[in-house]
Amino acid sequence: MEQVVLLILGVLAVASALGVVLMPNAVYSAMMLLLNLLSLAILFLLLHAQFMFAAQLVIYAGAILVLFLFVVTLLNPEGEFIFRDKKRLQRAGAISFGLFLAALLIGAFIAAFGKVQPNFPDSSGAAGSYGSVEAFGIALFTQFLLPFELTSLVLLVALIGAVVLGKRK
Amino acid sequence: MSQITFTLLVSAVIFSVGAAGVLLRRNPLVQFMSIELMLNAVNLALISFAGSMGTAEGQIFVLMVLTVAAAEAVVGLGIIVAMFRKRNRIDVDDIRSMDG
Amino acid sequence: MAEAIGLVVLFPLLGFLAIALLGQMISQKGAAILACAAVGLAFLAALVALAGSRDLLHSNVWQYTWIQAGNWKVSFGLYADPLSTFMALIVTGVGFLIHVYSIGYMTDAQGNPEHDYRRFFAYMNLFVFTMLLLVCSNNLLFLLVGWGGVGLSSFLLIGFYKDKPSAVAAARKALVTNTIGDVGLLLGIFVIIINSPQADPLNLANIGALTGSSRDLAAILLIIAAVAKSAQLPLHAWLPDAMEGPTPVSALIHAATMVTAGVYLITRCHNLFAYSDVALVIIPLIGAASALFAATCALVQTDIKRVLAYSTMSQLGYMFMAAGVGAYEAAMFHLLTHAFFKALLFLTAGSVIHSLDGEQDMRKMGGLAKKIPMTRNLFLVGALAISGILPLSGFFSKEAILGTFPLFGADNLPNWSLGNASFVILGWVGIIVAFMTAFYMFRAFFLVFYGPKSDLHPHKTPNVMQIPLYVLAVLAVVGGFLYVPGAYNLLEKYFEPIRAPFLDGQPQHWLSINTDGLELTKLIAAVGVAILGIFVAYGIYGTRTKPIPVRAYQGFQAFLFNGWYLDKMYDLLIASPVRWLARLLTKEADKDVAEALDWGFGGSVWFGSKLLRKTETGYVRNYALGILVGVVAILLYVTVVAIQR
Repeated sequence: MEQVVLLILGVLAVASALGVVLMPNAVYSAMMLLLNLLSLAILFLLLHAQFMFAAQLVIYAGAILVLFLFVVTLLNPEGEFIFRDKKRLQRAGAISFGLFLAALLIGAFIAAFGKVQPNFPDSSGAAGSYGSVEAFGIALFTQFLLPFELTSLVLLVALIGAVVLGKRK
Repeated sequence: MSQITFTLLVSAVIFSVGAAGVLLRRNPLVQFMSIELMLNAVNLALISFAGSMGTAEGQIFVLMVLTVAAAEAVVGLGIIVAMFRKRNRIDVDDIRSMDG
Repeated sequence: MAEAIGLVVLFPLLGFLAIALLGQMISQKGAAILACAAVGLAFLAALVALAGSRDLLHSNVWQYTWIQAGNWKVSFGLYADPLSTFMALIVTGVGFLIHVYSIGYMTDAQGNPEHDYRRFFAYMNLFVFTMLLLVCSNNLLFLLVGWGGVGLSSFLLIGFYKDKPSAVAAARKALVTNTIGDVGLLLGIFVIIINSPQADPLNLANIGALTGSSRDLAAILLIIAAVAKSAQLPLHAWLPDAMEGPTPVSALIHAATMVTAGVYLITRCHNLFAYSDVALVIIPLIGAASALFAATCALVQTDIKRVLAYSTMSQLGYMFMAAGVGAYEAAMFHLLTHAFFKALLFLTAGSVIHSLDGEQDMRKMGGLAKKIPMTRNLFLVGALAISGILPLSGFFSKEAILGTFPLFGADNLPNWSLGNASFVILGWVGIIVAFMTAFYMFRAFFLVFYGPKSDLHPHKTPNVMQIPLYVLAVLAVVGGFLYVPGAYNLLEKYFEPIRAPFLDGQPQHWLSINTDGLELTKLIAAVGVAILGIFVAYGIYGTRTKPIPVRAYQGFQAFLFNGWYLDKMYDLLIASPVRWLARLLTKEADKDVAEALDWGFGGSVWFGSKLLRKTETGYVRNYALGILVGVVAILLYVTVVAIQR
């Protein structure tokens, strides 16, 4: 059962990613991105990363995507068809090197991780290990406290940057 | 093929699609979405690695990526809006004052 | 207590930095006082270090590793052994007196600071610092830093009167000649590094480890360095010209300290030189030739400072003679007394020049004894000391050097490659030079202070200039009592720790001063010729009734006056061909080469950039594609490497 869900979600994620790139209208692209984010979130859950599942939903789907949609509707860009692009060389290069990259990564991953088995306990197993909120919280607030605090600085800088950019002269 | 290998393959494909998207689209908004795709693919890979190791460290990285993605989205969209205000059109090919 | 040697080096550096960096924030007077205080404190620290220098094991202080490469390393540290402390005491002690003297000297007739006081004292402190670095360093590389540093500060100080073209030319000459020596030292260092079996080859304790021809090669290269710094033949030409600098500079750098660096280097590296057969022949010969040459030149000079400059070169020749055959103690002893009486002579000469508002030509002086009797007395002390008259310091140190060279042959000589006959010849050269020394010093004395009165009107010398002179005069009188022939020899005990490594099993390469009493014949000969020289000078110049006419010399006198025309010869053999070649190149080749370069380099860059410019399309997406291609390439490489492994 789990295998089937995994397969469906994987196909959905790849298809929606293709949709983001191929849809001529930016609003559709944003919708496809939403679909991609949701399927990835469920994949996270299947990998026993419960906290990340929630964070993905709240931060990506909830905050970032809404921001995207705001800007898309605000600017209302005209439709764009990549196959009518005049720069053929750029398009050919992008597609061929994208395929090459995918093939390379797939080959490398299969070679490197093809036989690796997951190390996390069964979903029925002992709670509190690996992906649970508890384990994650302990790691975040003990071992990785300094990087975590530093992210606040990153966000502060981004905040100031956004204000400066948005200010009308 | 185990669960983790499968998710790694998915992340590889999504990453490549995102990379191609950045190169193919002229609309900076969609380029941005493609970048988000790449970041998400990396997130998926990180969580898969964390799963194969059975530790929580990989997820900390994902949180960092999320933070950076949020910050980047805010600043990037700010730039796009500023660009739109100036030219009334958004197309990355318009900005080419650095040509040789 | 040996650690105080660090302070000895540090104080002048701080003084230099303070004066140089504070600039206008301190007054002219403040800069002078700061400079004097820095050197004075360094002298006190050197006294403290002296107390700790007895123990050779603990005299190696402030040790660090400078460069480490595997087992090979260059250490970095200061010596506070008897030799370094000895030199540091001379440099800071005489240096302090000369600094104090300079406060008075470097003023114009109205008592205002002349030119730029601050710049002068900053340079002086820089000189003292680099000189101390030179004598206190415990490895050759660090010594080279000081070696180049004294060359630089000497250059800056000779050219201190930068509006005077002759001073600038002299400074340039000194720098170029010194640089020949620097290159020699550098090449010597390379030879030592390549050939030494030691892990720390440049440590001065280890440089004796060389063997065979590489030892001779290193010794010859170091001799070039010593010869250039100490103004010996054939690299002497800069010293007489260096007298263009202010007189205190001549006293400090070109008489008392910097020029003795060559003697110091030979003494410090005695475990290299004393085993090199080539060096044992070359150094004493150079020394004897220089002593003789400079003495003959000094006989006819008319500029009072040039007389002293040639006499310095001549006395350094004595030191080279002694140090070259292993009589290091005698060389260092003469170095000490020479620092006292030569600084005294220079400073009294400076007093005369200063009181006459810059007149240096002795032919225009005369009869000054009545007007400045105290200066006369001081100059007399210096002249008697340098002539080697009993019981002034010069007598003892000169006897110590001449005692090494028997006049009539002896069988207890060390088995040097030089041969007994050469020893005898060197001894006679020493006697002849002693005669000439007495003659030219008293020629200068009688020319300046006696004879017909000149129409010059000296004014009074300020106290700040007078007091250092008294101190130096006392030192010039009593400085010799470190060694009394037939009685005792304090120096032997003092240098014992340095000598010690030689004592067990090694052949005796450090000749102590002979304390068994003196050959009577030699005593009579040495003092006799000096007295003879004084009488001859009196006979020719002391009784003259009309002034010496100021005119150019002819014939043999001109030959001596111009330093045997060696300058002209250098000009003809080295400078002229270079100048001619340069002129030829400017005329014939310069234009074509420049054009070829213009079209070759410029053209190819222009065409290349024209092609490359096409890749800069301005489209961000093109650049991003470039990034992707790069990423794929790197990934491919990593994958291939991983598969192969």
